[in-house]
Amino acid sequence: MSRGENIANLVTIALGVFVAYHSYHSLKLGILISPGAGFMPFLCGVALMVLGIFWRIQAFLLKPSRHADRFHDAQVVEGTAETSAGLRPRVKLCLAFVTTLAYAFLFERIGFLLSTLVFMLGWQMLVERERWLKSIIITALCAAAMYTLFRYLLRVELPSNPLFS
Amino acid sequence: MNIFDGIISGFFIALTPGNLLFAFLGALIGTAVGVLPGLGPAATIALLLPITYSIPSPVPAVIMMAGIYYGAMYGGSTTSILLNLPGEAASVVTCIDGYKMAQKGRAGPALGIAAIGSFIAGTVSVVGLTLFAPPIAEFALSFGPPEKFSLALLGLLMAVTLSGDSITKGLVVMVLGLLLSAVGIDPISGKSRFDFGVTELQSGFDFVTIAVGVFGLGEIAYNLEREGSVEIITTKVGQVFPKMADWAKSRLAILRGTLIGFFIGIIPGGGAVISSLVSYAVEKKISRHPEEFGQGAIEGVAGPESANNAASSASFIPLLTLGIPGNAAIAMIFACLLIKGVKPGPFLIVEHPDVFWGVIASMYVGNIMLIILNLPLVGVWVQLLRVPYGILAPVVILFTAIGSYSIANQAFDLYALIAFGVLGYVLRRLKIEAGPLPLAFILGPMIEGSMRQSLLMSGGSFLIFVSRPISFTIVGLFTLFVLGQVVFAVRRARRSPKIETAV
Amino acid sequence: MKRILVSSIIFTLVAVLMVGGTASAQDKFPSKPITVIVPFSAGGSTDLLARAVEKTWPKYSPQPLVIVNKPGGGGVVGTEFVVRSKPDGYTLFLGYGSGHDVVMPHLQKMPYDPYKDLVAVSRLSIHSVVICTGAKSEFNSIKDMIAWAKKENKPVTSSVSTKAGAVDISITALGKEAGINIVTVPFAGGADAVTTLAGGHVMIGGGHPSEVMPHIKAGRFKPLAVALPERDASLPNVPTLKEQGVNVYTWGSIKGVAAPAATPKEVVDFLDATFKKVCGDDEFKKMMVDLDQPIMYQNSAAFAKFLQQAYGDYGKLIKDLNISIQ
Repeated sequence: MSRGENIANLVTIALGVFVAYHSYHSLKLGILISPGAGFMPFLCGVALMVLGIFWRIQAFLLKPSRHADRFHDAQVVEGTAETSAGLRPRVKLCLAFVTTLAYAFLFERIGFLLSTLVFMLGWQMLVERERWLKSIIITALCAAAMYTLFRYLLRVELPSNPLFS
Repeated sequence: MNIFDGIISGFFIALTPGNLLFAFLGALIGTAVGVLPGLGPAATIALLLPITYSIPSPVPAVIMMAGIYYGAMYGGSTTSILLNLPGEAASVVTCIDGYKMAQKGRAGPALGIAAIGSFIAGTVSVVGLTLFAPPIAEFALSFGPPEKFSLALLGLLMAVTLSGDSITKGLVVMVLGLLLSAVGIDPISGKSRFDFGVTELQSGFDFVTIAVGVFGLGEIAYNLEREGSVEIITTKVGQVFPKMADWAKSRLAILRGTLIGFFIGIIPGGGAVISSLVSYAVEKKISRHPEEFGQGAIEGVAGPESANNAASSASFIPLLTLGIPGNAAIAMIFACLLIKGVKPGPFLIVEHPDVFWGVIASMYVGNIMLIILNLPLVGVWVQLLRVPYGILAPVVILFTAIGSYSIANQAFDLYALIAFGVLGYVLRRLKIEAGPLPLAFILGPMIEGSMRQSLLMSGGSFLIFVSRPISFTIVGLFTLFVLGQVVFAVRRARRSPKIETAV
Repeated sequence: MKRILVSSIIFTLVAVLMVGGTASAQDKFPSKPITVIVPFSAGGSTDLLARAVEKTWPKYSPQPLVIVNKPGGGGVVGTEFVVRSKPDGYTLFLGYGSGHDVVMPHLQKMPYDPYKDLVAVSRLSIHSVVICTGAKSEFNSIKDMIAWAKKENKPVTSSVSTKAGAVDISITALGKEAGINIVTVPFAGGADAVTTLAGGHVMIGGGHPSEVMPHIKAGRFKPLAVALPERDASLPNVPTLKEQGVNVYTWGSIKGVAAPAATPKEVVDFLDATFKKVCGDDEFKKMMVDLDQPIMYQNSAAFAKFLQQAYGDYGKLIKDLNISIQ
């Protein structure tokens, strides 16, 4: 079991325990004629625990055979193996994540148009490392297009900048 | 009037220049909006419904709405294949093999076969509708809570076949999906579950947020991390259409998908999703090379796409004959008709034969229009993949974010979207197939709700699920299915004891 | 040099877009479309009422209505959304006075107060509760049903639209008052519940006239009773529960419009006046007849008072008959 899978497995079991407990205690299982709100979640929690344990057992059984390991590795299609090819991809992903998070944060606070501009600009410059002129052009065009589409063509209600209204 | 007179008169109505124009407009708008990730058919129709108010007569209005409905379904498949973004529940299954095909440079054939399959399924189903509508509608009524429960459970079981190598992990993902569907106010007891004091959680999650987050954003995150720039391979226009070999493989898948979709689609609620799942499972089981499924098997696109289109057409049946809308999009069309003074129901065919036959005839016409619109567009869509990922990725994120936001106009949904994106990324990295998650999420309420309703009806007895003929049949079917799986797994393990693949 | 030129052009464009895009709040109300939240699914009786209003509204107002369905929690989800939106008159709630406003607060804790957090704008209609049974059923009247239940000593199953809604309470009250066991099975809304009765999966079912009339006309349903103090105008041949010896009546599901509590009075009055005009419109009247929904307009103040009375009546009913949810 790789480290990632190990963590995922433990999380699953822990989640199962938590859900089962919460369902039993707070949500009530009800009686058979009228199962309560906790009935199905409880079953799900138990299922997660059982499946998690099963998963662990299977992974354990897989280990001893070297033949199985090679077979398993050969099945890896797109390379989950930790890329030793440098930090750059990881950093890129983190920057993308942060930029998107910033978008969510700013969306209602500074309005749709501004936050879209910030997002696009941030993405071009941080994630894609584009030159600043090209970034601005791309940003302006995309933002204008999206604005037209959503505000005028589809008439979707989007937050406007509170500083102006 | 008898059926043939009716259909002829219907065509006279549908083929007038005005109505043709409305059908075309509807199909065009529906496709255009349906292609936008995050906007499924119901949302599209909701957005465009007010436009139909200005159309005086009900016939063109409904023709346009039907066009929009179909168009949106076609559009949804497009984003599923190209960008791994399901437009709505019925397209999730298309993502599985469709997107893989796109990654291998076969986006054109995938889109093409989806369009062709949908056309055939839609047309056949409209014929079925024409000939058998009333008795089928009565059949649909006989599906009460126990039957819905068994059917939804069957669908869930079929979703396991989407889990790739490891069934255990697939089940974990599925249970996770079920739990996510439990977040929010429970309709049967009125209690709020798993909200941890966060008000926004009381309304639960929206399917679009989950599906688009896990599939679409997860995919983007995964791609960003790969070394080098991401080039989604494109092919020259020549290879844009399906090859003869593709067609040969898909022919029967389309036929089977159509039948499955038609019969399951008649049942109000969840028909299209379940039919696409059943179709996928059936194709995988019947196929001579099941290991291809999940890696880009064209039958995995042809079957489910046909199934969900057949189901969409079939869902008009309860509306036109009984006045019962089967899903959210049809409910909008229902509302549109009522506002125009036309009451869908058993008397529709008598009181407003022009509406009834006009709509049916325009469904034929609509299908033809869509295929004329879409096949040439396949080449255009494929070019979309040529857009540098540095621009495509953030634009997709923007679209999905806005789509998610506009569900409830709260920033919380944006954070939820990102969180599901993270989940999708994690699943992708762990090589766990995410398909069962959104599917279990959709089926969860149907399963839980129907189960509790059934138990209320039966006074606590579980026998109700087998004492009724239809439910019994379905339960029987999936017991056979499960037994079949077990036998198969045991045989496989016995044959090669050294290779202990996860079962 | 060129770079600076290009970028300043772009920035100017963008700035213009930014300023031009925001609607000025100084314009007269309404200066942009008004969102009406219907906290029930599309195609249901409340939704249809909303759409009939939406169609007529542009005749009397410069800005249209935009209907948005937000079903969930028996109506709570959509209503809460309105409670938390800006009190500027651009977000309204249609369906005020439904089960989740007049019944639910007596039975469970709500995330908002329907009377303090919302202001009544206008009453539009009242959807009474009609109790029906399948055409093939052996019951021909409420008396038949009660007699059967007492003789067989088995529960009567009934479909209802949502848990703790107006329909649910009316039928539960009927059961308690008559001394028989009625098990109410909640569904995802009126249409779903009525369809289940049409399929014969439950013995009786409750619904609103606009939901059950098509099935009655098709000969699929037999109406047994209506739960109002007096007969409903759209179903003149259906006796009330009182007439059949069961001393229970409810106000059904009241359908009105509400806005967040802090909305300015001028805005509320303007909206109220416009709704009044809509209710008097001939085209609207025709649509409502087609929908089997009575027009029962009341202005803001009268509606607020009426709601308090209905709320109190429901409370008394619940207390007297000892109704609760587990």
